[in-house]
Amino acid sequence: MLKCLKKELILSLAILMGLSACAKIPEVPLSPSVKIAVEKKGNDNIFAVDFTCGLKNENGSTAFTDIIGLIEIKNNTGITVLSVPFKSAAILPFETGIIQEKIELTADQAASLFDLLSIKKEQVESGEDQGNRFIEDQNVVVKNLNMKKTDIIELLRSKLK
Amino acid sequence: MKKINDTKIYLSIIIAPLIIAMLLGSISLYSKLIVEKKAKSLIASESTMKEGYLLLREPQLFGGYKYWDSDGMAVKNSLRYFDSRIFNGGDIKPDEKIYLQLILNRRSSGSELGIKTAVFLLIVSFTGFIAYMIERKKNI
Repeated sequence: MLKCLKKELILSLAILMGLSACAKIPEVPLSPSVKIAVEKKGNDNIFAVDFTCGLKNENGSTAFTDIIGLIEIKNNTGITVLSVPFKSAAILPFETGIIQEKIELTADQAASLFDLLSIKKEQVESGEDQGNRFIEDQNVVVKNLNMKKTDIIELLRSKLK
Repeated sequence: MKKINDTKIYLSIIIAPLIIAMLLGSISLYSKLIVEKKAKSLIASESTMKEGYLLLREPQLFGGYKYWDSDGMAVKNSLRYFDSRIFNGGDIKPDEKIYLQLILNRRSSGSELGIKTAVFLLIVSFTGFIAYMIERKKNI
């Protein structure tokens, strides 16, 4: 009886092993937002963009470490208006890792970002607008995400040594 | 009219649940008698609490940590807390033992469910055995 079920058993085991080896990768940044402030650099004004978002690790037993990636903010026509390279040491299971990066832009580079967020450059410069904005999820994309996937028990055991 | 012989069907009703029951039963009994006992003694002492936590970090087959039931949420929050604590080199304090107990309880309820499922499958298998014997008697 087991002989005739050999193929089915091997296939079921392979599927089970394949499913258990898969770790869900964070694809959507949570609550992306920016704070834009004016800073003096020499004689020129530059715009310091503080970008913040969360990346959730939905896995129960896989930790992400040495995370490197790129977050792109695109306008409604699909053109990238801001690229945010980021690094994070670790995002543990069930945890939301906070990504906080500061990007400095010249007035010309910031123009298309201002358009997307309906910000008037003069109002930011005068302090009338604090430059805090949430970004629509559809305008934010995570790209080139590289990370080590480590079993949480192995990772924690290495910390006990 | 030709008499139908159902012995092959009854045989599969005996064998399939029996194999699954043995598999689930052995996993759950191992968890109950060995893993949980060891985890209980490890979390009882402050010096071995971290070891105890690592033992409990591997979920029982029926007590997974990913599920969104009401007990699961409390366990998930405890895991998130202890993972972060150990990852950052911190210690587990004695008054946090109740949260380790919460994870242990999750594991215990998982192994109990496994044992109950194995018993149910054994009953199914036994019922199949009775039916098989009756069928054999009819065909003699």
